[in-house]
Amino acid sequence: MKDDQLILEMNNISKSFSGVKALDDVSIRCKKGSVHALVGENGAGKSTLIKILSGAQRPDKGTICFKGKNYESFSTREALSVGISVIYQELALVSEMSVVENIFLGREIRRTVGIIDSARMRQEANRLLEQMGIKINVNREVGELSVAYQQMVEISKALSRNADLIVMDEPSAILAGHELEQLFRIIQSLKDNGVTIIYISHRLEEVFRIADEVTVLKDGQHVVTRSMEGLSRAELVSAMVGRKLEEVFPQSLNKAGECVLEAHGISTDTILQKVNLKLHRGEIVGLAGMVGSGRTELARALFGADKLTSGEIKLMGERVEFSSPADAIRKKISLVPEDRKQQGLFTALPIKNNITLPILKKVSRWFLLNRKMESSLVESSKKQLSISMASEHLDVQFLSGGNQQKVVLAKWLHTKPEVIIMDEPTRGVDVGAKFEIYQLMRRLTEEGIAILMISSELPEILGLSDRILVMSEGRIVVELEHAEASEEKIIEYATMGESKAA
Amino acid sequence: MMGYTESNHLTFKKIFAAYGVYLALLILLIVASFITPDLFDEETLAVLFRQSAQLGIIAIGQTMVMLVAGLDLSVGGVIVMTSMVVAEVSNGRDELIPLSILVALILGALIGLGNGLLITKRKVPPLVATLVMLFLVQGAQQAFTRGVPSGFVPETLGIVNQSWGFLSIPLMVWFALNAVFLVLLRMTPFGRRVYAVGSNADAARLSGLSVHRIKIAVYILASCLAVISGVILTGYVGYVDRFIATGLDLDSVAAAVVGGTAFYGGKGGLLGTIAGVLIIQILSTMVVLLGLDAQTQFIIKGLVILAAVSLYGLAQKQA
Amino acid sequence: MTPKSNFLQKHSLIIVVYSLVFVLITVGSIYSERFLTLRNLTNVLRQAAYLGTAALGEMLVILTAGIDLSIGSLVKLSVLVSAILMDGNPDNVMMAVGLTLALGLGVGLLHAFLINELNLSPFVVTFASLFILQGISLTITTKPIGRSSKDFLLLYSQKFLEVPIIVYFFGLVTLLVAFLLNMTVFGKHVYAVGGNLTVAELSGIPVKKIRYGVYGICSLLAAVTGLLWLMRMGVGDPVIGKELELNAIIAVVIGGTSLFGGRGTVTGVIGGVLLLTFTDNLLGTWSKSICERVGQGLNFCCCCRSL
Repeated sequence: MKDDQLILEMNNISKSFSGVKALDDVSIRCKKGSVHALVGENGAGKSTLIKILSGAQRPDKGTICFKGKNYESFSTREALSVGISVIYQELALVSEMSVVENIFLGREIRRTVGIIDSARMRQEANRLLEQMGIKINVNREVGELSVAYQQMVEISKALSRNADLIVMDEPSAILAGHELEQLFRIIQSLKDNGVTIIYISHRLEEVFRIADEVTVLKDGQHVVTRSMEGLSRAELVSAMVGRKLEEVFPQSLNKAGECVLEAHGISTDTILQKVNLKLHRGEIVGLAGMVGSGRTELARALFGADKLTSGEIKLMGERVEFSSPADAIRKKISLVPEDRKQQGLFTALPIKNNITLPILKKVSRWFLLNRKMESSLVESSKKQLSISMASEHLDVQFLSGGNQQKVVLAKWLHTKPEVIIMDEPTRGVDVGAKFEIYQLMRRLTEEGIAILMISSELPEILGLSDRILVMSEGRIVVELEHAEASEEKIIEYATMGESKAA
Repeated sequence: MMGYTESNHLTFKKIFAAYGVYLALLILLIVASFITPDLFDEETLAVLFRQSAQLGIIAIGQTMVMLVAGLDLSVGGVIVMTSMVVAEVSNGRDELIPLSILVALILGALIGLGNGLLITKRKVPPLVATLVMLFLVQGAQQAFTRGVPSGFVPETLGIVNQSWGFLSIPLMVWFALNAVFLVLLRMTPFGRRVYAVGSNADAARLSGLSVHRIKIAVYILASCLAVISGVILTGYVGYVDRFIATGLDLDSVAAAVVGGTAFYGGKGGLLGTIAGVLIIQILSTMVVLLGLDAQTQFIIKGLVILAAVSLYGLAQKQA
Repeated sequence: MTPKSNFLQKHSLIIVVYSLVFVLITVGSIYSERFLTLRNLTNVLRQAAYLGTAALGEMLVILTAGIDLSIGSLVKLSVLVSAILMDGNPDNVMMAVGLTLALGLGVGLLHAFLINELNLSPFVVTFASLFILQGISLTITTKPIGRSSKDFLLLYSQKFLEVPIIVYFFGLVTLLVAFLLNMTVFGKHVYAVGGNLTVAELSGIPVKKIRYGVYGICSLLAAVTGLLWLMRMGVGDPVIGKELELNAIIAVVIGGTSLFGGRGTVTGVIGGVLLLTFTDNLLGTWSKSICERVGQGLNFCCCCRSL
């Protein structure tokens, strides 16, 4: 690659968050006018890299060279003004405003001081949309458009800024069928106009379809940047994963017992589509898949947090209906949510309040909370889970991630659950606490509890699960036994598009 | 509850956040002893405590409502309603007093239920919802009385205002209710749930709490407390007056805010509100004693609210 | 995916509101022959100007997902200040008007300052302001005070082509606000700030300046309302302004403006104002109060369902 053909070079970028290295000496090069794919499994560092490129974050080390000029870092304003536009998955649009208003938000065309030239703005907006081959009534409220069209409005916004580089973060995640074709057509026309595109996606068949080059990140490190020519899917997948399983996980005793929970054809008002699954006593079932594949949605459906639109759930053979999480909890199901600070804990309240909330009856006598009973309960949790806390009165927000997670677990363990669903159980947890949690999970299964574990960390999934279910596009595409599973296989199935789903 | 920080130190900021209002109250009393020593006269105290009790009882309900991130502007209407109901139902006859109070309580509970339903099921913002209920109640009142309040308030009702020195029944009722609700909020499962809902409604639901039920319960309690305050007020005034509750709704919010209860819920409590009520009433009384325009108290209330909120905001940022 | 709504659905609220206004006018004309006369209708419109001017200001603030609870107290204060300054002297009119407007603007800017710099919520700031302004007003006087000059007073009854000039004035204010919201950059930014604050910030919109603008204009219009009251009463009466903010908020919400910001039209607000004014006007004393209350309450419930 000749240097003058490069539009972007990111050199030796490193970035850490609270001591955790998100990016470690990453360098990438993008050719001008190409569609450059950025792939990697969850947590590989793609979002961090993009945030640095867009100016939302500053790198700890490294430089960026864009259109021949060097920068240590940008502000978001600067990034926009030099021609970098990022289209995130959560589209940055004001839904109450019209298409044209959104396109020109903050950069309205003025007739004179302060007064808008609506006619010219409409004209310009129409021109941009035509350029991409789309027809939308530019006066329509953006909130009324389908997500696909909203995305196009965002692309037009980028174009109106004369972006030379447009980054699309999982653009196909929200699109269906023919809308994807439309997107590809637009990308092609952008290319024809000399715009460079960085395309982030976990759907490998898309990458093979439209990308000219690809960069693979893994665990915050750069693996390879090369042209798509001659690249095979197997090679790509193995570049994405293929790490040695160094950690030792507590072994399973393989005593899976009777079926505790059965789900038949369940769907909710989300991406979930007619999922079937079975959980047995004493087993850990790992649920793998890319972000957006429906794992959390499945967890919520099983927990009664979302209403089922079809299908049924059976516990111990009996059909159950959950109208709220309270019902599920009563039936001995627990959910440790993905976002523990927002959904699993009351950060402004003390530890003891958090732990005893679902079982207040157990710590009260004659309608009054009993301090002694509460303390002893908290103490037993502290011992059982080795929670390190200065005092039970400490507000939960002051605990470390690992200890916070233990508090969430402690809370649920007091409800004597038979099924525990854990969504990303070790996210934001340091290494030491991670293993404690793994050991804990094993202990729980030995007591007969069934665990459904959602995780984006493949080593975790492979190390702990007795069975592995892989989800993609809201469906479970395959079930793998512990023995036959491998990182490659999981990614293979997780990146399967709709067309290939079993 | 005293919160510990990471390093297990009680920083000044944390103490302030929890008990600062009592410090302010203390300072206020000290200042008062210098510039308006008459404040501590038996007579003045009697009036001060009675008024504090009237405001305080409503403030208990308002505090709870604010703890679940809500607001209740219908309390004024509830008080007037109570006054009218007592007059109409008892019509001057002493033996009907208990019945009339019961009817008022039932109506009050219904109003609270209405508030709660509008806010939870219909997702109407509390400001709007309670205002709507207020209007409906006032409209119903007008329709019922055709503009002319009828009925008589039995004189015996005045008993509720009996006093001995600076102590009085209203004060004791306030005290008792405070005790009851303090226990309720701090030492019962229900109280824990209230704080949980206010602190993080999402997590509360995912922990199995019925957020709707808890909020509705709180609004019902608030309205019932307003009824109680209304009974006391009616007994004191002796007749039905459409304007007896003027300002009490906003004052109850002010008292809670000064006492450290935040609009966004989950933070604060009755202990602070008690001090807030006292601060507001003492300031009002001092204004009168100093010979200032009675209306100055408005300015002062406003400034105190601003000061309180700013200070709490600062304390929270650094705690 | 099909479009979620058509014209009818989208504008259902405004249609309902204006239909109700139409119904009320019809009822009124049946009730009394004098109702449907130009004289009467323009009188009602003049009445609407009082709530309307304040409501238009409140609307601006609510569009940014804020709120102003102090406008009632500010109107009260404006009436007093302008009456005292004018003191019956026609030479003082300009000064009185000017200073009153400056006062209004100043209060609004102060609100915005506290919200922007101290990060306080609009609710709290204007709540406190309500008390403070009320207090200042009542400290100045509890009884009517001051006088407006004769010609100022005359303005109330002045008519041009049979229509009171206050109505023209109201119309002008309405057009100006509509212009501001629909045709200027400022207006677009107001909607953006209320619609999605994060996106607005990311798009480089000067959020703080927008707040100064809307709170400033809101309080300015409140001051204007105060002047209108002076025109009508002739003296500074501190009784004015009671519950004005609540009525203004109701009018704004009935008219389809969302309290969460980003959504609302001037047409809608005017509809709400007219609805409230006609309701007020149409009914006699006692029925007026009941129906006013019940009506407002029900209006709300209906509106919230369709919101």
